[in-house]
Amino acid sequence: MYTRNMASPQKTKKDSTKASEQPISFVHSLFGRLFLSSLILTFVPVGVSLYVMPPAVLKPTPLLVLFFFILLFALSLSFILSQSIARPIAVLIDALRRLKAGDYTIKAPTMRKDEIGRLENFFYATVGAFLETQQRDTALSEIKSQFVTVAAHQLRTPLSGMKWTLRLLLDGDIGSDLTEKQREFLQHGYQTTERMIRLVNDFLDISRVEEGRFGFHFKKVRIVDVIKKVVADIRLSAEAQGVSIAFQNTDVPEDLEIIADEERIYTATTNIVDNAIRYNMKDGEATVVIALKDDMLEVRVADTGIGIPAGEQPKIFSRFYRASNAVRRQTEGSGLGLYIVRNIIRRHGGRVWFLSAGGKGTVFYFTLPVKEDFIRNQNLPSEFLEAA
Amino acid sequence: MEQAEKNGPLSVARMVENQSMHFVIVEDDAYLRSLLTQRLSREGFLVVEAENGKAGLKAIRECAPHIVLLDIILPDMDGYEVLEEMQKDKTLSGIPVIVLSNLGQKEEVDRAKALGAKWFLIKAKYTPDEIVAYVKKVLSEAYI
Repeated sequence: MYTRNMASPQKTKKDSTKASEQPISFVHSLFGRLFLSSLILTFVPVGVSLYVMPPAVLKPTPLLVLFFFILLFALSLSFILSQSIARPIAVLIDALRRLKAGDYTIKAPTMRKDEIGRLENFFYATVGAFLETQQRDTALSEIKSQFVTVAAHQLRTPLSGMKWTLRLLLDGDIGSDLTEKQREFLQHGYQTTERMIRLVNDFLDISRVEEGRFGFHFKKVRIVDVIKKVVADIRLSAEAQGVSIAFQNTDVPEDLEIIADEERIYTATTNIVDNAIRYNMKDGEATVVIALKDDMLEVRVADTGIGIPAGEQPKIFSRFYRASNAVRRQTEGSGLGLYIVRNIIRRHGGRVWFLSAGGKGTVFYFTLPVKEDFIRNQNLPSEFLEAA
Repeated sequence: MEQAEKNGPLSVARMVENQSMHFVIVEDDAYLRSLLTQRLSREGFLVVEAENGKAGLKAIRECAPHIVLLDIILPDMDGYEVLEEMQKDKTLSGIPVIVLSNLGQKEEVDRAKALGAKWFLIKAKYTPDEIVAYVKKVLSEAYI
């Protein structure tokens, strides 16, 4: 759906929007056409009758009166007919225009019993159904957001207690007479808690990612700052794991603004960079490079880690899938990280892919459209998008 | 705070380096509160505990702390309301607040920051050591 809207049809769509705003010329208007038709329809039989009449009968004054009446007749007929058709169409166009601008307070259907009345009824029924779906989606999105709030609080609070207790014990804050064996056990306990926390975070992310288009908040975002923030926020834990992390901006203006959901892009980038750290080697490196490629911003995350085995590469974006060498490392992971990444990037109209050879590191790429046009389509109701 | 201002930047630095900085922790979970208090006290910080929003606000008014650690979901008066009340009171609006909560959706973070919170830390994502590091960073920024 989104790819279709990203491609050339945009231009056509823009042209057609422009055309609908321009005034209609007299010749192309319904009134003009009906007027010309009625003139022809009246003049032809009158002309033929005049032609066959003897010239003696034809006098200038009655002829002028006749022409005048024909003209008046054609004018009135075409005006009445065109108004009866054009007026309801104008009302529908106006309603559509207001819908497009986000004004959903449309009038009730007219009581006409003809085909136009039917069209109006159908139009208003469709709009009504669409509004109902939209309201339902918005309500659902709010419920989900509330669920995430409650779940985050209820699940993370006891986990925080466990994490802090184990950490304080391990750091010697409660006493420093632990045996090696006890320390080892506590370390396992700590790792397990971390795994559980990560799992909860991923589930909370996913419940928002899967809630659909209405859950995304697209607005102008200074994208370079977002990527830099990911790198800055992860630096501490990267260094703790002995991995150095570098950021490089090839040619992206620092103040570049793209239309995106900042929180989701932060999550997606964090998930990729986090993998580059966790599945890296001791003293390994992770590099985040951003560059402009035509109308796309490309983010490249390279690591010197364990890589993704060739046979498993097609499955890596599937839900709950973890590569066998990643599982062997016994690092915590839910198998949801890259699934979330792909969902987020796709909804932004971008693409995510990777190059990897087992044991030789992985390079992840994702792109985000820089042009604003993409978002205009995102704001249209999905029913209209699907029809496009 | 007055003492810190009087003694100049060097003694403020020393105060931040563990001494006589006053804290108010507003946290309804007694166990989490005790763990944090224990860890911060070990650093030499003076900690006043409050278990709900109202008690927290009262403690903040009474002891004018150097920094506040504030939870969001609290009984009777939530963290946002505490922040709002602090904003309204000129004597309290300058006190740096670190929100320490297990919420973390963007709307929640934005709301807290709009109400004057300096940092928004998700409890489950940070260890007590990391929280102490943030606290010191905020204190240095605010008082040195």
